[in-house]
Amino acid sequence: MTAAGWAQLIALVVVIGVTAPLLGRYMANVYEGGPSRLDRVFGPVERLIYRACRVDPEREQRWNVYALSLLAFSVVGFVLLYLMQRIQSGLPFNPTDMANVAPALSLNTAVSFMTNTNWQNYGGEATLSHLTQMTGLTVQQFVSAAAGMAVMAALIRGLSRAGQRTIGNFWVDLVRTTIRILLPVSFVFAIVLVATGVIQNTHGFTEVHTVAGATQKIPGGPNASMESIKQLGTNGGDFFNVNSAHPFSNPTKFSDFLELYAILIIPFALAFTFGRMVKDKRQGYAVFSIMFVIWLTASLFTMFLEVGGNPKLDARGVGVTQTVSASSPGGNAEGKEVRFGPTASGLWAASTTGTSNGSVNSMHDSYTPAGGMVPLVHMKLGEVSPGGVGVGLNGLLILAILSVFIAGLMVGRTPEYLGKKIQAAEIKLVAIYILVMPAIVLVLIAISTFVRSVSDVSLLNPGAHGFTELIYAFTSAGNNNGSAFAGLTGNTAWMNTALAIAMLVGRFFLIIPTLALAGVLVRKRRVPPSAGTFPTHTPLFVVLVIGVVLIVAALTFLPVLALGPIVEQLKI
Amino acid sequence: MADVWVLLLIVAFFGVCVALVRGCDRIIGPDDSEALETPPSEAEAEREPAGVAP
Repeated sequence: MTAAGWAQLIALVVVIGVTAPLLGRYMANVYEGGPSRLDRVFGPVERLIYRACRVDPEREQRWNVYALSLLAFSVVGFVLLYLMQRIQSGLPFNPTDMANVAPALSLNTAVSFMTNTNWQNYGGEATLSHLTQMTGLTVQQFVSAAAGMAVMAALIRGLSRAGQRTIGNFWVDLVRTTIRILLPVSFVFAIVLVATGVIQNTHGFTEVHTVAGATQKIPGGPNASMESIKQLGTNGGDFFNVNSAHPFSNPTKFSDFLELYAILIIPFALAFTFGRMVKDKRQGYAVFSIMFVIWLTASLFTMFLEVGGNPKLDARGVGVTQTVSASSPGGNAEGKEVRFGPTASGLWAASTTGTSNGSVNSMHDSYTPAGGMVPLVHMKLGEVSPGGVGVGLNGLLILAILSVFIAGLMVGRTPEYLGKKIQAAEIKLVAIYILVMPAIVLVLIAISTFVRSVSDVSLLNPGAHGFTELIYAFTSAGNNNGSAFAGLTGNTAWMNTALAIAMLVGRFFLIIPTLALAGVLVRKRRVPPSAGTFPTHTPLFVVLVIGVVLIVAALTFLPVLALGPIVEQLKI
Repeated sequence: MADVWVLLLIVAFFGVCVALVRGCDRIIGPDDSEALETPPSEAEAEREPAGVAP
């Protein structure tokens, strides 16, 4: 790997290490509702929203009311976004004269953004009006991220409170997350992105004449405002079709670094938020360590595999050079922007799939089979490294509960986590959470292999690589990631519908047991630690959870991986 | 017509979600009000082994 590649990775680690605890402390204060100097700025705005929506911010909810509030909010968001796409040609702010979007594609897109997935079966600049992108997609990018963080706050309250019935108020958590965290941070970051060259305007297409005498249409639009929340909210849906490989979305290596930082900072910072909210910072350090170790391992694997390229190409003497030179970044260059090269592309691929972000700055379909398998496996781990905003920490805490349960079985004692006994109800909910995603992903992959439009239209490649494209698509949708492997035509009736179902199940069938878990934990009284208590802040616990994460993923997904990227790698 | 199918799909899905909320409520069981209001007894505070080793 080049010195520049190492420098980027080390700089990213240092900046996150310095800033994540600070942001984590701020977010903990937001969720605990303590007094803040910013109350004078945000307080009146929040009170205005509560009055307009008739929300009593002092009234907390039980878990089931919290869940139903989230479901109701999501339904309204879906309907508004669906309708906006269906009638966009008659709405204002459509300088590119975009037509109404077809029903199946509108369904897929509305579900995709409402579930924080941002899977895109369309080209943004060629399908959607500026109004739809700004007030439809971008608004959902804020509120779907905020909803995920609200669920996380509820779960942490379930762990930190004792002998109570309520886990907070969904509407208050939603408003405070949006007003106090996502909006101000996104506003500042959008301005920084504009300074690096990301466009932000209201233009339609600008027709220009090329040097060769042809004409070309250059798209414009309000991109930086969408780009900032796209990364900070781990959304991933871009204004442009090629996502963060587009020079208007990610123009330079410096913008690439900043956007990578934006993808990772909130999920990592939430580990420290957790430590503060449960009044034991060591727990936060342990969670951060688990996230960090898995993310760093996946990043290094992807970077090295792409820098290594395909050794058979040099051996066969086909005239393809994979060594670093003045004109080439070296390694496997196919599908990668020259300004990023294999290291920055590999680091992005691992980060975006570990966070449920899903944006791409290179085409993963062109990676080496093993290099492409790492982002795929990273999603299959359940996106806990560090995971999407809120939902990633939820997944990791649930796996931590499973880990203490397994450890409890080993030593023959009732397992406990943060002083709460883990009993039958909790483990049933954990089991639902862990089994739902693999079930929906694997079932839909299996059905899709029999659907004629999948083999005739959707898959670009035959054999193992084509099967990997299919595995990747449903894994991405089922984990609410949105990362596209490329090479798959998703805009068909079957793929639009099946992927929408995967996204819906992957979002709500995981959030509901999570909130139920918060509901059962919040009732429990805390038991004092004893000699038999398994400490959950030690390196041993970190190793145990990482082991559980890997074993759960391997047991569920190894067979399907063997038919896709593993067999393809072996055939090289 | 396609819009109606989409609406039906979404209504059906969120209907299943509400059923899942009820199912999870059943797993959790009813609130034990007494347990929430009374402090833990010493016997409860002292954790018992989950099983007896053979």
